[in-house]
Amino acid sequence: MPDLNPAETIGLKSPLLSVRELAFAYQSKNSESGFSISVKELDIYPHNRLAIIGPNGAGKTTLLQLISLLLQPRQGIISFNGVGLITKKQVLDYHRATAFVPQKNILYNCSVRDNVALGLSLRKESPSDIDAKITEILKTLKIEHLANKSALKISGGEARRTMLARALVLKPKILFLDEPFSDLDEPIRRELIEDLLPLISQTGCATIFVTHNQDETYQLADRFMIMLKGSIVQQSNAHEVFANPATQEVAAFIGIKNIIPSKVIGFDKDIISISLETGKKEALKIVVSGSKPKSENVIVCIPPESIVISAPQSPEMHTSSRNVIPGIIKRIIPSRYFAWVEVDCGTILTASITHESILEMGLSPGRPVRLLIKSTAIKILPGA
Amino acid sequence: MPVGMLIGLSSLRGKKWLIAIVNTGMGLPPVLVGLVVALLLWRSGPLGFMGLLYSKTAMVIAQTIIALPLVTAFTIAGVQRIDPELIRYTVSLGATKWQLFKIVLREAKSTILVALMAGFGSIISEVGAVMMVGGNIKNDTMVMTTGIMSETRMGNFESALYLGAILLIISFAVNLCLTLIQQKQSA
Repeated sequence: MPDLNPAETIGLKSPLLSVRELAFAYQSKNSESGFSISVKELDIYPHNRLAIIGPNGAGKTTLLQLISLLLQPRQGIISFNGVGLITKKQVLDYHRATAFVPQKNILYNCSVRDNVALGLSLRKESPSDIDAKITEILKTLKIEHLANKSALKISGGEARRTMLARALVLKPKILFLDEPFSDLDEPIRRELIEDLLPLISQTGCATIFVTHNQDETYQLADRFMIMLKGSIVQQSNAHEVFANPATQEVAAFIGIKNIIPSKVIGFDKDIISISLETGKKEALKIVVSGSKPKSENVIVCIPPESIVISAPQSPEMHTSSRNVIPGIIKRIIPSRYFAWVEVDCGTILTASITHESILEMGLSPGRPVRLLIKSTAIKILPGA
Repeated sequence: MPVGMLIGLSSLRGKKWLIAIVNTGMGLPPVLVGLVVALLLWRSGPLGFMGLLYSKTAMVIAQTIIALPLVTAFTIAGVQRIDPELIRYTVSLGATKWQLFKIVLREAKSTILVALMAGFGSIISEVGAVMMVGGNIKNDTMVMTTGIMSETRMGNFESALYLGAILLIISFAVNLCLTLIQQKQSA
């Protein structure tokens, strides 16, 4: 870490929360299930909305619990407003300035109102203040009719709302959300997000939230952090992560299905010629626009939605695509809005096509097709 | 109760042993407690100088020793039944140690009331220890259970039965109150 410029540290741009050299290891009796987490550097600024995304078991929840000090890190410094959190008093003050919404429903054996009031009463606010605040938040989150109901007798969606109310009523500086909308049915989830977004902007808190559902993140976050196997592999804005995945693993996680180890065979005026490994004698050649890769070995990523399927008998190429690859349909896997079409072109390339197109073109396994791929749609990552 | 809370919430290495010892204490024969307390308070015993043998204080000491493991063990069980995540979450909600204690106590309320009932039941029905350390002195250290014994020995079965009935009524009244408190919250 370079020395911080003092002018910078006192400037407006100083982070609300900063984490340095954080390390944590889960001890476990059977060594296989133990894992460790390490984060070199993480800064949260006021109004930041950071999404930590990654597959199950990547350590996202643990990381969130560490930076919210629900768990004690083994090593590392966590500072809040520029002050390291060390003494019990500092940790308590930090807990009281932030709020955590766990993934699991944690509700106390009392009414919804008393559940929501708990954080405030722990902070020794006056009963009349508490009353006013609770009434308001229950109304905003549309659970005022549950106020006197036992919190142990409400539905999953209502429990989520109660827990969010309990956190947001504290007007935290940082809100930690751990998979806030998992286990909720789609319409309930959407409604809750709609209700929550204005509330978060109104509170003006920084939000850090963990999810494995990438759809949620677009709506809720302005910064992405991708976590794989206990470490952060990429940190940037949403567009950047999807446009330029940092590694092969990130590309796989964000759903780029076609990830193929390849070799650069030529470079000319921003056009890279690449031969894809096929396992057969005849290599598959494609061209990609971009700057010259550092190494000869690269990994080619082709998002399925940028592959266009065309019939082989269609008149000779009135297309701007630089890559026209013949192949045979191997499998068609239907999904909700479209189908994955796996095409054997020497190596398997997967395209995503709407159900209508499949019917219209009469696509079925065994049929020869041509794949059109724009040279700008292909991403190249450094290879091993 | 506080001891039970502490043990239940702590993460000591010897926790399992401690719990096993407390659980053994639940089966402690009251007569043995009476004997040990009596020996300690005996005029020539280590605490004899306090002159407590055959006094109400001595009886309270013995009864406390009998009830302690019961109440402690039930409290431990109640506290351990609480989701550890709830405890961690409560800390992150901004609870101090003392506030956490109160919340855990409230969450474990129904088991803790069972602890009180068990403790109360064990001492109100107890004969051996109070007899040994209290001496069953009429109008002083005679309690209902020992009273029943005396009356029976003297052949006054009728008054012995009356005493028994009163004892049962008191016991019922106390347990009724505790049960009502316990059941109220789950309504």
